[in-house]
Amino acid sequence: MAETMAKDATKTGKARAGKYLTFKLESEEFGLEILKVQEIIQMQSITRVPRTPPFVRGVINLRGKVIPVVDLRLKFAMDHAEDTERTCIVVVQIRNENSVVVMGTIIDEVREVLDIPEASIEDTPSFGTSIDTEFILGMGKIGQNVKILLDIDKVLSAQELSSVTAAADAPA
Amino acid sequence: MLAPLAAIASEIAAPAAMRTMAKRLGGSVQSMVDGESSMDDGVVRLAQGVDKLQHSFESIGPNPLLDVPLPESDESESPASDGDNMFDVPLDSIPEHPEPISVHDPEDLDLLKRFIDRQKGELEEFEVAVIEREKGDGTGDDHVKRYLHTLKGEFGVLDLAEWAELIHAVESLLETGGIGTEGLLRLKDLIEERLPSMNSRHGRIVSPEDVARVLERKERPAPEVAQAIADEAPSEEPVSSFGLDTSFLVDFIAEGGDHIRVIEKSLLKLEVTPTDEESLNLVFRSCHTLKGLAGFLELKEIQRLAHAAENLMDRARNKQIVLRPQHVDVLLETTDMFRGLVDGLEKMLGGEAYTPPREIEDVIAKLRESDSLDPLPKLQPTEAAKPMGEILVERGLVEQDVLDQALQTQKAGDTRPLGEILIETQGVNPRDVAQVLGQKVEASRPQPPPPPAQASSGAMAVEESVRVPVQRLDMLIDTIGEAVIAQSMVWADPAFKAAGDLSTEKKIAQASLILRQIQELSMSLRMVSIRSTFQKMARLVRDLARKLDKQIELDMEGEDTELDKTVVENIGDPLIHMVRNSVDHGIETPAERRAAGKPPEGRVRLRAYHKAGSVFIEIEDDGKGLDKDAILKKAIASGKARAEQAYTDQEIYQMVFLPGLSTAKAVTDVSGRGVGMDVVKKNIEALRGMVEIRSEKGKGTCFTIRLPLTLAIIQGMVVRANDERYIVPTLSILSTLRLESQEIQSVVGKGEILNLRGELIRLIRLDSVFGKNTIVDEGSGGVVLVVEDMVGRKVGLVVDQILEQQQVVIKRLGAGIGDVPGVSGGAIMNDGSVSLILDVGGVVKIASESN
Repeated sequence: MAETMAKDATKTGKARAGKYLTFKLESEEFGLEILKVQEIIQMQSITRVPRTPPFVRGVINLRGKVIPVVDLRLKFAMDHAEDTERTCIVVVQIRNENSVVVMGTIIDEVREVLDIPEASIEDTPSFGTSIDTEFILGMGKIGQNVKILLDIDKVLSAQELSSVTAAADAPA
Repeated sequence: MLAPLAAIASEIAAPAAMRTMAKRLGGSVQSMVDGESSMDDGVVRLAQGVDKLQHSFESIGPNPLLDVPLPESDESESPASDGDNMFDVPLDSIPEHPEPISVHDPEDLDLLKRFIDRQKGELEEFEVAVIEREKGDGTGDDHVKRYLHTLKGEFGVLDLAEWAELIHAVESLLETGGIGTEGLLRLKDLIEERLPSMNSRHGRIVSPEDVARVLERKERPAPEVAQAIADEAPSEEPVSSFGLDTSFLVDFIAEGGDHIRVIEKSLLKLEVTPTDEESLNLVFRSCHTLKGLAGFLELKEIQRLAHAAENLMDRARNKQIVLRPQHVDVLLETTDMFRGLVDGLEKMLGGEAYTPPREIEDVIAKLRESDSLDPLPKLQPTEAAKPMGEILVERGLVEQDVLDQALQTQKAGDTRPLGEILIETQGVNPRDVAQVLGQKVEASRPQPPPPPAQASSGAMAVEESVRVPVQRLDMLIDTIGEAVIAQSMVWADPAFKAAGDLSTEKKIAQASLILRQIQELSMSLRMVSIRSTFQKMARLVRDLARKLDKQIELDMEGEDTELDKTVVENIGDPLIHMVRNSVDHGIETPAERRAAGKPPEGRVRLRAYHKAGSVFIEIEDDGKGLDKDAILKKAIASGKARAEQAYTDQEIYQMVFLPGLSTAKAVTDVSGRGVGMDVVKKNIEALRGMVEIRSEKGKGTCFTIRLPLTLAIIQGMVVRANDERYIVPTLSILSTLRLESQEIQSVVGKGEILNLRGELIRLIRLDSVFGKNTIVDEGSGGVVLVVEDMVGRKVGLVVDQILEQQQVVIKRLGAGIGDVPGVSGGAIMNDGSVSLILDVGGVVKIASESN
């Protein structure tokens, strides 16, 4: 078992074991590599940027820097939910063509930081060809719970944001 | 917080003026903290801003990238792409122009003093490098060579010729292993010892004892030196190798560019006055330095090219030939080649492949040819003409019979150079041979003249500066911007207003004043003069005039006008287009001019100046002027204007910026294709500037470009559209008016039209463009901002309300989001939220596309 796991790890090219920040979106729990997380900030007023895809909520002022904020619920095609006091913005650093881009992601609720060993990480089950699982690193099994470990670089590829921007050019 | 603030205040390398500011700001914030202010949050934020400010200062302060890059410093290993992104920030007094220092004035004590100060530290590093070098694994070697070369150059600049000669001799010896660690260390000791007295007459002199002291007991005899110097023939394999640290190459690219500009500029001067000594020397020196640097970096092509050019220039300099236009042509061609090679180098550093063009050989051949083009007899200095042996005998260093014997040996088939034979078989002191050879070469050949090379700093003006990566500078400017915002947040804080405490208010007002000043200063750090851009035009005008057979004189004024670095970088292309237009279309041929009663020589004037918070650049010619009728006719023919409408002169002139409109009868390879001017306008608008045209038929045309002083801050109108706030750059608003419903006409399928004093303009509702349904109901009265679209037609942008006018710092919308049409950036408002800055042209474009 452990052996095949190790093989899989090399297959994906990433060492998946490590610390993850887990958070909730709707009823599901997700995990983000802790090294990608810059900080967690409370919800604040977001300036809408017109003519961007709906999952781009807008931009905020992060201590003098303007950064885009993405609503992960909408990104994952979940229902839109009103912000609660638990809603917060996880600021992540994503790698995009040799540069690091800072972005905010809106999530429902932050849970905890977990150390997940490789042995507890399973590959993404295949959902058939229609579902893109590329942005999932694996499934972390903690007790009875399964947490979806995200490859945030792929979730928020900047290229996608701007290409969707171009596609959104049709009048609203 | 205050302690570090005080620390920057005393940080030597922070620009002096800013230091003072930091100090004053510190005091101001201190008094705020001490006061019984209740706006804890705001004050804390301001304090944070100030804290960050300090970090920025500190990051600029101890930057090790001094004029003379130190090879072992980490900073010099900046990536290749940073090559251009360096900034020379004058050490003191940013706003005023530093006193220009005459490089040629030997008595310039200030320059010398700075040199002496600097050497103290560098000598220590030199010593370390010399010792490291002894290990023989190559460490320190580069540093030693580089330092010696720089030192030689600086001595040359300071007119300490004897010192320069000494260093030159050491350099040559080093090449061949003729001097070892001991010798180098003795050299260091000697310089160190004399350094304090170098500003006196005594210190200028290097006595034979000094030379002996450095060169005596050298580890190996010098014959190879002689060979090295004598061996002038350039190597025939033009292979570029990059064994060296790339940081040297990066430096070379920057430095080489400076030299190329100097050469070009001086050549243009020489074309007018071929005997202008200063220019002759400048070209020669720059070629020499290029050669030296290229040689050091093993850039064979550049080295050979520079060498050939240097030969030619040397002869011109020594009055053996007088430069003729052909010479200048070839030399300019050489300059272009240099530029191409340096560009290629940059590409190569960026990982692209680059093969030096074949034409190099042609150019080198041409340079050599033009050498012989000269009809004047070659005047050889007598000393130089004599064989080395004779000189040695004359000086009593070698007996006549010893020399004869050596000559015999040579005749008998010994192929070694005479010097070597003399040393090996006759026991002649190698130092004498080397010395004579060196002098002989210096006297007769262009190889190493008393070094004028100013290898370290830029072209001509020597001014003390710190090279700072642009990134850091921008960080500083950003941080200051933040501090300004934090400051205004305090100001806008309701708790603060409620408290109504006068003395606190005063203190905060003072802090904000100082902050503003710091902000202005920080902006001024990004300012560079437009000189180099103007110089390019000089070349362009010359080449075009020759090509088109026109006589044109170019006047330049205000080359020292300073603009934001980004503006200077981006204004070059539009300027080229406009100057081209003036030369090609504006100025007539000499025959036409005579017929029109004008002097045959046309005049193009470039002028840059500051006025009313903007920078103006004018391109004026005294040519035939714009033909209004022809432009209008063409515009109507291409459907860009309506025949029945009356246009003002200005409006007609603006039509030359329409894409695809050219009144040129023939398309030349210079201009006339109708592309160009629209690009010019677009580029200038991208810099948030505008172009105005004045023209008088038969008298000439004047294009005036107006540009903002800085790209980092804009004056903006804060408007409300629906429930959102946007910032519209004030510069792009022509006028504003209240929207009266009765003036609006709806055109089916075309949207709304407003009758603006008889002129029909299209209305665009901002909120609907941006995907919010309009709430401005008829009669509630929105506001119309009259703006221009890309082609200069008036358009009304409808918003609900104008909130205020404000200066804002432009921020990019974060790399993650890319370009958003209609939005040029974001700005952080007083309440800490972000507002978007509109790109008016983009908004109009979106609206047009959706119709």
